[in-house]
Amino acid sequence: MTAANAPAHVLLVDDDPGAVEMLRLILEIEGFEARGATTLAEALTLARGWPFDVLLTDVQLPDGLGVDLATRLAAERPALFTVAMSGLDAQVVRQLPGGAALHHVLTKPLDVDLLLALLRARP
Amino acid sequence: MSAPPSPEFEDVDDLVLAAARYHLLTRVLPAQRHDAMGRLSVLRMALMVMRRRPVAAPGSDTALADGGIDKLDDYLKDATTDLKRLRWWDRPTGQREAADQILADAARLVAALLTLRGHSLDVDPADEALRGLVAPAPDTVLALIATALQASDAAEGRWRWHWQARADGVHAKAEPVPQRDGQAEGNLPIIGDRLLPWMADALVRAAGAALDRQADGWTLRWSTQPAPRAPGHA
Repeated sequence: MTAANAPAHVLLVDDDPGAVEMLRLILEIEGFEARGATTLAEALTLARGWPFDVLLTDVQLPDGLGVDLATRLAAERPALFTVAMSGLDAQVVRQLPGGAALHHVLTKPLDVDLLLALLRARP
Repeated sequence: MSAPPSPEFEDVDDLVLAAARYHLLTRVLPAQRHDAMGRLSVLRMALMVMRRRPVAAPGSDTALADGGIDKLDDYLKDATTDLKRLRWWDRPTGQREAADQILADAARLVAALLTLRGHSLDVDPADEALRGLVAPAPDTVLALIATALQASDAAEGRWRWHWQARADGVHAKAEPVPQRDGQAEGNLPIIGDRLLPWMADALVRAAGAALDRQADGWTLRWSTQPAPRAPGHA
């Protein structure tokens, strides 16, 4: 089975619990397995015991930046597919330390169809 | 040949104040937009869920569906409030407003931006002594925002800001937030703020206020006066 048709295991992180819940529902409806966290620390705890292959994270979290989270998790998992989502301009996110290494930066309101297409086409 | 200045701007101070107002709008707007976009994002995702998984299907949990709709309603209300609040920037200058409202407006406008940069802001409930006092608006609000931004821009790491308003002014103190294990630094970059201290001082003057900067905070001594009595009020 190739990565393109393997169901992704998505760790999704957003400080808004409503956003986490909605995204988790959509991803599950679309055949992905998703687990959610609302803080950077919670995401790191969740990441320890779960073999996820996609990180979908908001940029601004209550206890740090999602870009830092992506950098740290990608250092442990070189094949990790990283997508940041933000209400800020994508260029601002790219200019953050580690921002250039993200696979994709999506701006809010989130285009969920685009997100799903990116997840399905991930390398 | 240079164009004559617009008659709208009578002197250099007016130009500085107009620039400061615009500058603060550009600083505050990304945070306001960030919050509004977050809410709209959830609303759009919720619609998508409803389209793909009808909530009223036989056997579905109606309590869960009702809860979801209540949540959507809250998000929609918040998004509408966010948009309405943008009207604040259309307000005319040279008026006076209730001091506690000035404090609330300044805290609301600056808090989201501080949060985005990893700081936090606590505001004490307005002191009883503020009741019935008015101060120049919107200049006092802008002076508070500019001073808060200038102080937080200069702060390395994460800080918890605490505002306390009294009749004589707004007192701001900052204390560093210790970094916990596994926590990232998390400050967004600051864009184009070379002129902010200059603008803050101009706004403080325009608000008829005075600013004391301290090592761990600042005090803006605002220019308050009793609110005029309403016509016909005994």
